[in-house]
Amino acid sequence: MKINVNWSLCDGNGVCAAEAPKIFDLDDDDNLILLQELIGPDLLDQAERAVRVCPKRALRLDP
Amino acid sequence: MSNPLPYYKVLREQYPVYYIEKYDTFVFSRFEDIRELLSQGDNVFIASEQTLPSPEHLQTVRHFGEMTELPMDPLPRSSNLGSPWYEEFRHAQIKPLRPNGVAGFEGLVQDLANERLDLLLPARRFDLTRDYGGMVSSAVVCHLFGLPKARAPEVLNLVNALTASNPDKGGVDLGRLVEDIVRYIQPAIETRRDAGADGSVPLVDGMINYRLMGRALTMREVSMQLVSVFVGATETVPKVAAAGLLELSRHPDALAQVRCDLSGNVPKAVEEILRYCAPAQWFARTAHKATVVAGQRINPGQRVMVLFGSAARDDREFERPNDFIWNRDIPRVLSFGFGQHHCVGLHLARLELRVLITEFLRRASRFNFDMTQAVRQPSSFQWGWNSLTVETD
Repeated sequence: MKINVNWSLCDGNGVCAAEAPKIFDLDDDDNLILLQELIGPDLLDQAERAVRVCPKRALRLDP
Repeated sequence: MSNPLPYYKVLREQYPVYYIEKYDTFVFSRFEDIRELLSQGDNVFIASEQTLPSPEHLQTVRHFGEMTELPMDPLPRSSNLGSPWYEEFRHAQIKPLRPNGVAGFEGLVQDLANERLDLLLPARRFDLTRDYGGMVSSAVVCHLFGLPKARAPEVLNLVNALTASNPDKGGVDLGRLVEDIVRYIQPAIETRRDAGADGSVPLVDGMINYRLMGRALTMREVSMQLVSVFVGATETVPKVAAAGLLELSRHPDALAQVRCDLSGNVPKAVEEILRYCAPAQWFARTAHKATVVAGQRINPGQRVMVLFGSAARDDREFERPNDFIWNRDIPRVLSFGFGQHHCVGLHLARLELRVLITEFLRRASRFNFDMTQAVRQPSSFQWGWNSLTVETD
């Protein structure tokens, strides 16, 4: 699976980074950093939670 | 409306998608339906007729089918624009409101809260909404806009007067609100431009330095784009902080538990206070593409209204939703909206609420409310305690 970020929607709220710290991080200016785009089975749960909680609907998980 | 909650319950139970023919508007009242609606991206819904259209507008203006986006000249307020313009303006002003930007405000908010308490506590009786939270949040707004702190009372009065519901026509007179606030903030914005807009007042400087398809905005246009933050950051938090302290005083066991560890427990209580007391009741959008929400087909030109006040009391989402349970588990909220227009000030609001409530509880060992003096004006939009008199020992 692949994480798809809508960069123009993202506000840098950091909710995804709290849910999935191995996939997302924020830099010092609260810009989102995507640590890994391709999601293996071990991180799938985290990734799905992050997609669900993003208040801006800026994340998608694609096959 | 003096108390919308019983109406919300009827809507949720019997008419979860309620069509108001004279406004050509579908009203959504269930948590999950509102979340589904606001999850729709791709400019399916745009607030092209304002986020709070007046009843008069909804009744007189009808669209039939095809919708076109607003022209960019004259430049509308960004809240009325779809993607990508809405996001462009949002990102130009968001820097001080992001988590790290807001973390830098902690000391400022603490100082402001304690300055107010130094003045208020010796009097032993004061208006918690206006004199405490209101004065602190409006002073923070002054800071965000590069205005001197001494203008906080003026800011608070201006915003409170402009957001009151029109007693004759209903709704909020948004046109007047925008014009009066633009007139008030534009001189400060011109001062920032003349001083070089070097980024030290990032909210304002970000908009001054923004280029729309290569051109700088006029100072009136900059002012117009900042109205939402000016209003939102002034009037919401004071009502929530006062209502939250009222609920804690009504639940002595909860108050005692929160007091045991203020730094650990207040942030948890703030989440329930936001669910229980967030004052924004509704927002509207216009469909620009055909879609389906909660099984209801919506055609271009038709409007939708989401009732956040109802979503917070939906027993499909929250157990015993009408009970205030300070430490309840709240996995999902709509108190700050959801999707494209998700409240840009949520981190600042949470910080201000945490500090206002912590400092008050730390310094007021006992308090009660004089509800004979409490005022909660009927409102179709911001329903909360406009005035709440507290007495302290």
